[in-house]
Amino acid sequence: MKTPFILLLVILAIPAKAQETLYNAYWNSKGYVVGAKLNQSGLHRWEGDTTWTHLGWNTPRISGITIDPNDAKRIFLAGGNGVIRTLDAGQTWKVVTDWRVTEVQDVDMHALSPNQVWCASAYGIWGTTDAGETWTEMNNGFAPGMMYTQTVEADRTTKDRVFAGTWGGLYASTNGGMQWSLVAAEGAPVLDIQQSTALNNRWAMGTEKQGIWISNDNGKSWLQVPGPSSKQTFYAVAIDPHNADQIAAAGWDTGVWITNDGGKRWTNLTAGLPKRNIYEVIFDVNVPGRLWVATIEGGLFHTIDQGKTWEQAGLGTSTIFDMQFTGRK
Amino acid sequence: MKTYMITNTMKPSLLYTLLLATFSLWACSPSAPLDPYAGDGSAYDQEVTTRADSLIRFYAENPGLGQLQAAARYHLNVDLERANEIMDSLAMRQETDPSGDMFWMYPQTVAMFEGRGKMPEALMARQRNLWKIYPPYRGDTENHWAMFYASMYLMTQMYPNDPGSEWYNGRSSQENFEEARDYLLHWMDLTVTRGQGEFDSPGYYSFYMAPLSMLYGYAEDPEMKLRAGMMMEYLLADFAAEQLDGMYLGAHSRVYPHTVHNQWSDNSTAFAWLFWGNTPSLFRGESLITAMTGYRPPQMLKSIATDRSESYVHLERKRTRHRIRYSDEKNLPVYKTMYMTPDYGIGSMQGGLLQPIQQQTWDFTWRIPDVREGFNMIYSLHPYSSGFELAMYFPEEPKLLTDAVVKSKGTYDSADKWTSASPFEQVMQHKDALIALYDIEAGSRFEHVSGFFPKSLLVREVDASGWIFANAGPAFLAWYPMAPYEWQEEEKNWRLHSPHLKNGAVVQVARASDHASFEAFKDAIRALSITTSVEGKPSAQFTTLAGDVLGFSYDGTATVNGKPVDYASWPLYGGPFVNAAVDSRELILTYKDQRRRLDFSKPAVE
Repeated sequence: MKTPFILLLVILAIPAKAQETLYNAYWNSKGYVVGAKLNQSGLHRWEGDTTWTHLGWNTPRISGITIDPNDAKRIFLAGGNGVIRTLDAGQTWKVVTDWRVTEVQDVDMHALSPNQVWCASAYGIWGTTDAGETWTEMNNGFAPGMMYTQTVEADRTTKDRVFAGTWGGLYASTNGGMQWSLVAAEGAPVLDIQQSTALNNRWAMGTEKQGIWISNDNGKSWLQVPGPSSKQTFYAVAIDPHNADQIAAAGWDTGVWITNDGGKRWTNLTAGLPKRNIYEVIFDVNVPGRLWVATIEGGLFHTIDQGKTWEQAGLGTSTIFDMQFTGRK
Repeated sequence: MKTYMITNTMKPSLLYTLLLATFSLWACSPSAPLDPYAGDGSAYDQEVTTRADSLIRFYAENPGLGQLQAAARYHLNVDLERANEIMDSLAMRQETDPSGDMFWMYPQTVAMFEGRGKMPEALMARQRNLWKIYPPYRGDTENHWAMFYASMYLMTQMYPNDPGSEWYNGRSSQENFEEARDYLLHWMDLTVTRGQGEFDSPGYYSFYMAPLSMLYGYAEDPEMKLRAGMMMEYLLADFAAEQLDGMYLGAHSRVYPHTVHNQWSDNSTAFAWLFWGNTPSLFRGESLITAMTGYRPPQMLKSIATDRSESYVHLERKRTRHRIRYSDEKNLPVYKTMYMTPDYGIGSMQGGLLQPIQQQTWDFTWRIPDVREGFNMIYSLHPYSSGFELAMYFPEEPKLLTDAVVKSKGTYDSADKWTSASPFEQVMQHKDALIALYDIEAGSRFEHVSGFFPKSLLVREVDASGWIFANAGPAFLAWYPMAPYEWQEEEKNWRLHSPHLKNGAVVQVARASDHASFEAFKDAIRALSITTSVEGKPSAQFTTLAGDVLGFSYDGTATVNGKPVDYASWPLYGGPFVNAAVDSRELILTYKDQRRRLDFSKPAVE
């Protein structure tokens, strides 16, 4: 009798792992033009099932979210009006950039130095080292005419190392964005970059019409995934935080491609989804193996069984630009 | 402004003249700020005042539920109860069901400035609170930003000491004010050095005049007020040289399908009527804002706008909207040519993707007895739509953009549309003759060229020589099609439909009065030398009625009498009335023996 009792004590003594929070940024106005009435859009927090709580502004263009991995109250958003910041979990917000920073597509914070934030914009990269109080334009090294930058991703293992997905390929900087060098996919628009949280050396990126690319040496070299997806456009890639060999990618008319062996073999999971056009995918931090898939104006879905069944999480008329969990380390 | 308000209620009289003289003496004293745009009591000033007054009264008596209807009442200090009702009702709507972005911001700003001291304090506080709770989108066009930042500048001027918690964007009054000022000065400087990106748009013209009027009327900083007034004069001078009876002629960066065939009905006309009176009255909320400021442009602009006794060539250089993809240059230069005569104007730019969606590359428009009837123009285009074009200028994904644009610009992806930018269109113009060439890539969204010929033409006939002749009354046109075509009848026009990838048109226009008859014009055209080819790159060589030899090949050099057209030295403005060099930060207006210089580097008006 003693053993179960001791076991119970041990279990009670172990602190329960906190559930991380899922945020997304979406646009919910099919017919919206500037000046028109805007249905509820912008940053949302998932409350379970199909329930989402709106936070901050009602705004059509929130394209990216980054959350301090050590302090979930600190969130930066990439928006049409610039970079928007909250330091109190959404109680108050401030646009921390001025008119020079516009049409911001993505934003990322460095896990090792959370005051270091970069944003990717239609006019290149801007960065801050003081949590958004001041910003510097950082476009040295980009190819002429190729400064449009869709995505930015900091290397969580190395201070000042950051990747930029430009319209002319993947660039990296080792000095905080002051100088960039071409790394891969020259001439190809890079649309999304993700670093594995389970295996830091593993990265994935999605491109315009040049498929999915994988790196297994912490972004130093990249290989394009061969096969039918290699000519397709991928808006989003995701690496399972519980299993770095499980990678998903999705985009324009692609459905969802998934690999369970680090990119050697890929399977398409489109069956059961209402649309093949997908803008965002993310693996669940709380539930191992759960994959979230945001179709373009067709709803948000998640699957726990690799697409055999899909459960809808609402947002049927929205385009979801980004999803992020708190606690991404 | 004070002078203007006096004239609203007083007939010219001895007392008025004395008051005016006193004011003028004061205004000219060394210590007083000199406003070059204040009324001077001249006959021209009175004339504008009369029109402005009728415009303001129209809005003040208008039962409509709009911020500007309230603003006009506050301005005239009449029917304040109704003005307050309007603002109360609109505040309630904005609190519960907000919309409008910068299209809400700028009239809201005007209503609050005009309502100062007249609106009950609690109602004013409620209006103020809207700037805390409603987050307007900044938008993605030049006109959006002009309205957005002019509004932010003025509202933070009105509430200068509020912390970030009192503004929707979390920025303090000072932060917002400085940002707005910085952007406005940047935009003004870019415009007077390289031209506007959203240039010569008959519809969006008013959305630059409105924010500039607001700054002129309400800015406390005398320099900002002066700069805004000078920019208004700049835009008015630009318009004056290219308009005929209020119609904005020639090439446009943006024009809407519902006004492209009735240029009079577009917003810019409202300013021609207000300041020059050369067109039937057209009221717009944005011209109301201008009217309420009491702004008076120099009379010589009216002379430039209305004196069509002599034909002239007017050149302009603009720039493309910011290119964010598919281009090594952020802003490509745009070269515009206008040939204006007493009876017509023909204008163009060089073609290509200079502005997405609503571009009009060239246009020939003639005078008609009632300008309100429209359908008095001829032009050609290649209807083009693609994610490539849109992604060059908009940040969204190329594959998503066409659908997104069609939601608000329904004709964008239509084969029959009448405005379009095309990467496969190139145009050269020399005075009254023009060559438009098309080399359409196979597989493009649409593989044909359209020509617009209104049914209002007195004669439209196809000659055995291959020329198409048109008699428009005061003006004639000859059009040499370079590829086979057919006529398609539409409600108010004939469409020249030519489904050939290699294509083009050689166009010669003329005043009817320069020829003994339409037949004589046709004979003269038939006698001209013309050679065209659609083998390989389309090309044409043509000797004009004036004897100039034009040569042009697609992707090749445009020549006049064997000399290449000198695009490198193309001025920001060049012509008999309006002149400015690129990067000069000045504008020189000339009319007969009058000369006026705007120096934006100081700023100063000389």
